[in-house]
Amino acid sequence: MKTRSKNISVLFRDGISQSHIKGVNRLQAFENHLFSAGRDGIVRQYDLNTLEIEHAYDRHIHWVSDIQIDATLGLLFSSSYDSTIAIWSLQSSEFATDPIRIIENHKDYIQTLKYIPSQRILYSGGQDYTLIRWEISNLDQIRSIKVLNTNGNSIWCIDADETGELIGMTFSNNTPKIMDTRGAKNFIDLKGHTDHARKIIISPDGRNCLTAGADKTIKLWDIGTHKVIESFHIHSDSVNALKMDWNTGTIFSGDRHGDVFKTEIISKTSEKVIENEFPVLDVLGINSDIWISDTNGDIKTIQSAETKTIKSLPHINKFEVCDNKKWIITKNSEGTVQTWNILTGESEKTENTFEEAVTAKNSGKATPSWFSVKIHLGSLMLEFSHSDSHMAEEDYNGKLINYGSVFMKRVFHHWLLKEEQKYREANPNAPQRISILNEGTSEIEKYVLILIQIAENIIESIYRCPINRLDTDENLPDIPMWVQRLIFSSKYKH
Amino acid sequence: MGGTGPSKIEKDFEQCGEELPERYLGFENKDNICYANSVLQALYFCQDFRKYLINQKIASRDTVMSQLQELYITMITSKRKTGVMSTKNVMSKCKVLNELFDNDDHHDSHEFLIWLINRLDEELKAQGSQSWVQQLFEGKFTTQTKCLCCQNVTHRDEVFMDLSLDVKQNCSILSSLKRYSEIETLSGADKFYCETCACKQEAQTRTLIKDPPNILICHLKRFKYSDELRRYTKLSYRVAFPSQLRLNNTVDNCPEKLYELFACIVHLGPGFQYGHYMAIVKSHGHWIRFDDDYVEKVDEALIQHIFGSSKEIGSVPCGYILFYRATF
Repeated sequence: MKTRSKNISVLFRDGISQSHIKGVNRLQAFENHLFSAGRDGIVRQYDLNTLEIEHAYDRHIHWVSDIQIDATLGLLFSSSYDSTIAIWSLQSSEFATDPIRIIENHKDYIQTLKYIPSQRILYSGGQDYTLIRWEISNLDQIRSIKVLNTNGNSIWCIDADETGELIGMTFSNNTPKIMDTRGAKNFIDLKGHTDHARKIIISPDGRNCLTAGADKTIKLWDIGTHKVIESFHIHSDSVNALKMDWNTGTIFSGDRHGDVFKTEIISKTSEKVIENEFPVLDVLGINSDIWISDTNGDIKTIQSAETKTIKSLPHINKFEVCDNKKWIITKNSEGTVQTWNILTGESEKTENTFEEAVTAKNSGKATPSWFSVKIHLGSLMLEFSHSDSHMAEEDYNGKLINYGSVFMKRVFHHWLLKEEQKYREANPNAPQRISILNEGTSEIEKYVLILIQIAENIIESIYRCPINRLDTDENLPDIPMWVQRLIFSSKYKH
Repeated sequence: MGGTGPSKIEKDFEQCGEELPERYLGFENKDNICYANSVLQALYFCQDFRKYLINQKIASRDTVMSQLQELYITMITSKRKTGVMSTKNVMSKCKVLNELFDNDDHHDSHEFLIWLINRLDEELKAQGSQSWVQQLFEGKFTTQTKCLCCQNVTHRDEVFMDLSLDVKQNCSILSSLKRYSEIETLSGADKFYCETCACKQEAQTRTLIKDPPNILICHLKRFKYSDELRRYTKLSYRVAFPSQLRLNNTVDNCPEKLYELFACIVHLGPGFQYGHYMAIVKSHGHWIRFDDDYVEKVDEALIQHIFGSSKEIGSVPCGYILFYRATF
């Protein structure tokens, strides 16, 4: 019997910003649109020419690792470390769209996606050591097959030839493999890299492939003979971004140091085109323009010697919870220090140093922990579970204040109003049940509620909704019993 | 013992026509203390250890240090070059301080060795003296962890007094050291929390020696708990160890040290609850075997015979704890 639990998280992020905060893992282009997959969990769509933001695809609760596009059907696929793949329609008129499908089959971070348009097949691979093949022809009945279980090697990158017959994969080791899907799953080992092989690109005709990795080299292979045709030693650091134009024989590559090179295979000449301040995560060549994304969240393009940037916003990279468990102090990538009042959701910038701010808000008395903090999305995310959310209490003028109770009442304020209205309609003579209804709204309503069902450390399902829409969302699942106890308990009448 | 006529060790030296270069005294064993006797002999033949201990000014007689010093001084100043000593006083003190040893049971020689070294270190520091025990035996290793996503490496240093090495059939100290420092991947449920990425990531980690000690103690993990049999079993695998050793698992700019084997504690028998320990030491170019009260000179070739056996379980004599001294 699996132990299941339902945890609540609240993402302290107000709305969707125009640019990314934190790194951008992947860039894709389609017609005159640029798509970017962010470590803030959001995929953004920009106009390629004006760099204005067009849409935001906000659903994932961890980094978005890859994006693929079905041009014909107007579909966008996004994979995430939250172990789900979201399918989006590109034709929505809303600015912030919801996915039309979410597929949950992986049990750990999904690292990479590859879509084969001719077959309408999507491949996904990740850190649960599996490669899954999804049939996207019928969106209402997406069939999947676990193609491969790698026995303990995470899948880092997948690519395929035009027909989808040959699948190239890199893992957490030095040896990429090519899998022939036609035969009895024959594998070819590409031996040559002396450190982590991170990226692989297969030529559309399936005759050659390009790999690159931590040994700072880029290698061009002949798939038939499994041999390296050419090894390029141009980078001074791990090559983490790779793209190839097979028509012109041009390689675009970016490394951890921030250097981006353009290499012509035939003449074997390389040219450094960008010296970026931060490690480069992805690179794109569109016509004669080069686009890059980096770990700071910036998206840059060089167009006829001119650099244009979609500048990122700062992200939180340091936090400390004060001893009274009512305040959190954060510092972001620009050095700005902020104080957060957890119970009201308010935040304020301060001129104090980080340490001064912590001391100022500490009360010298330790209160039990009633939440845990995550900052992987670059914003503050608080996680609550049944085991400790009720633990923090305070005696306030003779009244017992339970922090978890106060907080949850504020999160579910609108939902409670609606519930109370239904109750009163059914029981007209009953007194008001909870006094929270006398309170006004709080800043917490600006934020996002996430409800996760977990079975033995594996995420089974995710529900998310902006808190100010909880009363109108039809898909709101049952509120976990432990949360209801916190909200309705007569102990906490205040 | 004190019997009439020359002892075995005297006969051995007579045969080569040599004088005994120093005193070789056995220890009596009436209550299964071979696990301790072998340790005390091995440490006695560690020249630096003997020298520092004998010359140490000791504040309190109520210490293991003072009892051990008395024992070693008695040994050095003994009128006869051979014979049998009693380690009663040292053992009484040990048994009072550590109730684990306060009985007639067999014990793990390595457990006693590590406890003794740490105890001496504590006693030296408690009386305000510099701990030469730490200077002799302490080394440092560093664990490097590389996040596979951002590729940043974090380091964590730790000190050690000995190295405990896993054993496999037909391996060697060198291959065990290499395996000690193998790259391990942290993935799945054991992902590493990377501060730079601010989330859990796959990582590769390895432990390398950063500061090799002056006296290197290599402990072979021959006692393994078997879930099936619900007790400890002895792995008698053949593990080859050289008389001269250069560490192959150090960080890049580590000071190079060449080590020479000077003592080995050997275990015979099927398991540590039913077995026997003896010490083989190198003294003035000769190898001497101390089997409690029985002392004899042995051929260097004997070392090879205590590597272990070709079977996993067995009673053959196996090298268990190796003592190496750094020569410069």
